Amino acid sequence: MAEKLLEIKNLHVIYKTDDATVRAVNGLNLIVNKGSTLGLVGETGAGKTTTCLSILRLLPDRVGEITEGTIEYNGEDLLKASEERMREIRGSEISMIFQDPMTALNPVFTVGDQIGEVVKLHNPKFTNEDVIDRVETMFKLVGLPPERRVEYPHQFSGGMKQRIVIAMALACEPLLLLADEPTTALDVTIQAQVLRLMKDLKQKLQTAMILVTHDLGVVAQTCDEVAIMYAGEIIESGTLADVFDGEKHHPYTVGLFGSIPDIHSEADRLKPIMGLMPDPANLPEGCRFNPRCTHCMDICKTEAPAVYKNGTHEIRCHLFANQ
Amino acid sequence: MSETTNKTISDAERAARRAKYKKKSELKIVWRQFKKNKLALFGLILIAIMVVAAFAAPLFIDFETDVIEQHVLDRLQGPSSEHLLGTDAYGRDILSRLLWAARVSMFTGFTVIAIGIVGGMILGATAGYLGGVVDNLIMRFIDIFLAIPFTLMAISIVATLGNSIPNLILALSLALIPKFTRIIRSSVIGLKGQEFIEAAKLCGASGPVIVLKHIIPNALGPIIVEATLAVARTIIDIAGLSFIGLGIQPPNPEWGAMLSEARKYMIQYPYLIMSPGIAIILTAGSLTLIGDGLRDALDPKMRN
Amino acid sequence: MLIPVLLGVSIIIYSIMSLTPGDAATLMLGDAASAESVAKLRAELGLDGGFVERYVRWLTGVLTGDFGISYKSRNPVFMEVFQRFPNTVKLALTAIAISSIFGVLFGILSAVKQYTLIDNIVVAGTLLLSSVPDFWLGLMMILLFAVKLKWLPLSGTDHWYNFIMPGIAAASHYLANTIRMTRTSMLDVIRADYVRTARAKGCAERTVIFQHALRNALLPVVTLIGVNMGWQLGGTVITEQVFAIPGMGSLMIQSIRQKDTPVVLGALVFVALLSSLINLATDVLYAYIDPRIKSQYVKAK
Repeated sequence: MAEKLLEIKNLHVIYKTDDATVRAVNGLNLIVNKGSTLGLVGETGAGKTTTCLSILRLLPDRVGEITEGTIEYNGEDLLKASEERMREIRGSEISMIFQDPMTALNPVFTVGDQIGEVVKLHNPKFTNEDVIDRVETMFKLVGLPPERRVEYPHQFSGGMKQRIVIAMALACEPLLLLADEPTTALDVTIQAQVLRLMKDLKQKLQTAMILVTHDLGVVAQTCDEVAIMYAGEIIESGTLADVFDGEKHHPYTVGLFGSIPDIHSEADRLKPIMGLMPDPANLPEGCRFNPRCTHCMDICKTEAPAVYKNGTHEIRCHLFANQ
Repeated sequence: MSETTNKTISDAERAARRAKYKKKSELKIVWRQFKKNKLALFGLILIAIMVVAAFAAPLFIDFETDVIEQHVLDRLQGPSSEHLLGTDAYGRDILSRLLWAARVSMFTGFTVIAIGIVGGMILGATAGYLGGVVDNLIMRFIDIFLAIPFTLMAISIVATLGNSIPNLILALSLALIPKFTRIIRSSVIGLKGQEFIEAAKLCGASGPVIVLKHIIPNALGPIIVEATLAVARTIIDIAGLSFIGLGIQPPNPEWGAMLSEARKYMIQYPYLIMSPGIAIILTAGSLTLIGDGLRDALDPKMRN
Repeated sequence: MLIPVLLGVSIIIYSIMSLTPGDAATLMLGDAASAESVAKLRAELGLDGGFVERYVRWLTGVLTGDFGISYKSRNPVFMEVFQRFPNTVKLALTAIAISSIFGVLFGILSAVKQYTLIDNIVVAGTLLLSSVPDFWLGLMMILLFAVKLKWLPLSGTDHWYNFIMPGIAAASHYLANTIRMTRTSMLDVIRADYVRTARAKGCAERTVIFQHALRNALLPVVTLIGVNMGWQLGGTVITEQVFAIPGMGSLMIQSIRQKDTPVVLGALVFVALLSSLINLATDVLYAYIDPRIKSQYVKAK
């Protein structure tokens, strides 16, 4: 049986701008099991990055606010933890890597120093040699020559930079890695390399991972579990088999899969999902997907749907309400 | 063959038209953003008031009697109902002199900036657009001018050529041209590679036309910001030069010169120093507010 | 690269000065002097010959350290200029120290505390500083601190505290632009991705700001301070007049009034040379502290 590592319950996050309040995350529920990779899928603007930032409480200072919910990790609610405790967790128990490797590293420090920093922060008893040892181990782990730890970020290519970022995130062997679209900014060939690397490391170190992506192909390759996000909430979740092969699906999921170009079929046009993501400052009533849903019923416009459960497979839709 | 050429030309036309439309709506957006900045608006209003006052001065101030003529009996009087800001060491009404000095300062200041911009545009656009040897030559030339500290150069020029307003304008614009050349050059280099320039070239436009019609209008943003700030700086510099006797000559009033005259009496009559100083601060300050406001309004990152 | 620029500077300065109307020799000897004595003096002073001849003569002199003789005092120009040098340097250094140190401090403070009262005060103060003419500030300070409160002396150059007011006055404009640049740079850097990475690693906020952010934010500020230093050397002229400090600036103005061209030339060249050297030093320093630039040069090895 899978063992729970992190559980998010009813998370609500808003962004306050001068003009409006943006409701980025609206009642999100998510479970990450130990050692498992959860693919968090959704279009741009669904709230995936916000969710990850909320776990580590790294939302932008005055603008982002967590208004409701709990994030349970190892028996504590992260949202109630002290800033000091959060600093302990960041980088050592829960790590995060971001989308753009080109700007993620500080240009004026050597890459070795930057990895060394996270090691030293969370292992204050390490001597300098210990730190260097660990840095070099990580370099080898991600497939980079350890001598290059004295070089600066601008001396590496994009793919190599992302490896350095991964090395930095895993240097303290965290239990959970939050990876926010780590390969989106890379070339396709490099993408494959980096994904393989992450899969290997994940197995070696038994790290759980939330992999944020909008690419279903990546999900198929690397994830054990999947959660589909729309307008700030999870509308379908389950194991990889549940979501990819299962019989019943949320209409949005159907649309997502349907809009992938199929190399084998003959088609003149792509089949996108009609309409656009709703404006997070102005969300629709009832089920948030209703304006775009081909199966929209009257109840969808007024009432938010409950969750339909089938073992590990969960779907939030009125279509399956009485099952 | 001709079909593709036709298509390319209309694509080019479309690109050029898109660029032009983008510019018109850009202006509206910039103005709207500028309006949001209360301080900048305040600056704009203030400078507008001053410009109007300066322009209107001859209507109720007679140059001979109020500004130049000395009334020994009235000298060194503090503010009163007759002389709102008092009189100076020669019995002249300070307020009248201040307003008249505003005319001189603003006129000189704007002329200097205008020359600076035109000179900077010619040099900067040429250097940026042609690149290569021409660019190098022009930039070395600019470097030479920038190596001489500004104040010293202005002083030497004015001192050597004589104390007149044209010379003053020359000296100050010489110091300003290098700055604008640099700015315009980098804008031009940035814009050179963009698609609508390719489009214009395909339409058959020649070098200078491209530069004038397409590049300059799009580079105007940073130029206007720097120009506004430069006017502020120039007005202060004019005051400085006049203070040491090298700028605008008496009996023509100038804020810096008024301060220089007031120095002898400042310990006993401190009000003599206040008004010209505050005049300078208000003028330079409002221009700086406008310049900063423009800079923020033009910055796409600041739009929500 | 430096040499052609300096050469160009010397040509320009020389050309400007040679436009002085009136003949120096006649001026020195007076109208009553005979044509012969004027011609003799002109030859002595090296004023005969065409423009190029005179320029080359002057330039060779300068390169060997001979800046010529002052028309007025008949002393070597170099001596006259050098005598005044220390005062100007003291003033300029004080001003640079004030503008750089306080500029960076307030810039950082303002950026870190953006949107708070402190930020607003600093921004308002900076605006005021950049709109105030430095000589007026000097006069006001004299009125307040020397006359009214009697805390500081009116003039003189004997003690370090003589340079406080002039230093502040001369620094005012540069202080404003240093604060501005530091603040802008800091604000940009604080939003950078790598700062977010540092936080995600668990760094304390203080480390994030003072190590990660500052180290990057200060790079353009270093360049600015270098440029300011060069300009400041020439910018003390007016302040010297206000506070009656016998420095190179006031020497220049005096000599201009007296049409003592060699002295003016000498002072100008001196300052231009110094400011070019400072600019060069700044570029070198910058290449040293920014790894991205440094590697361009190291790779060439």
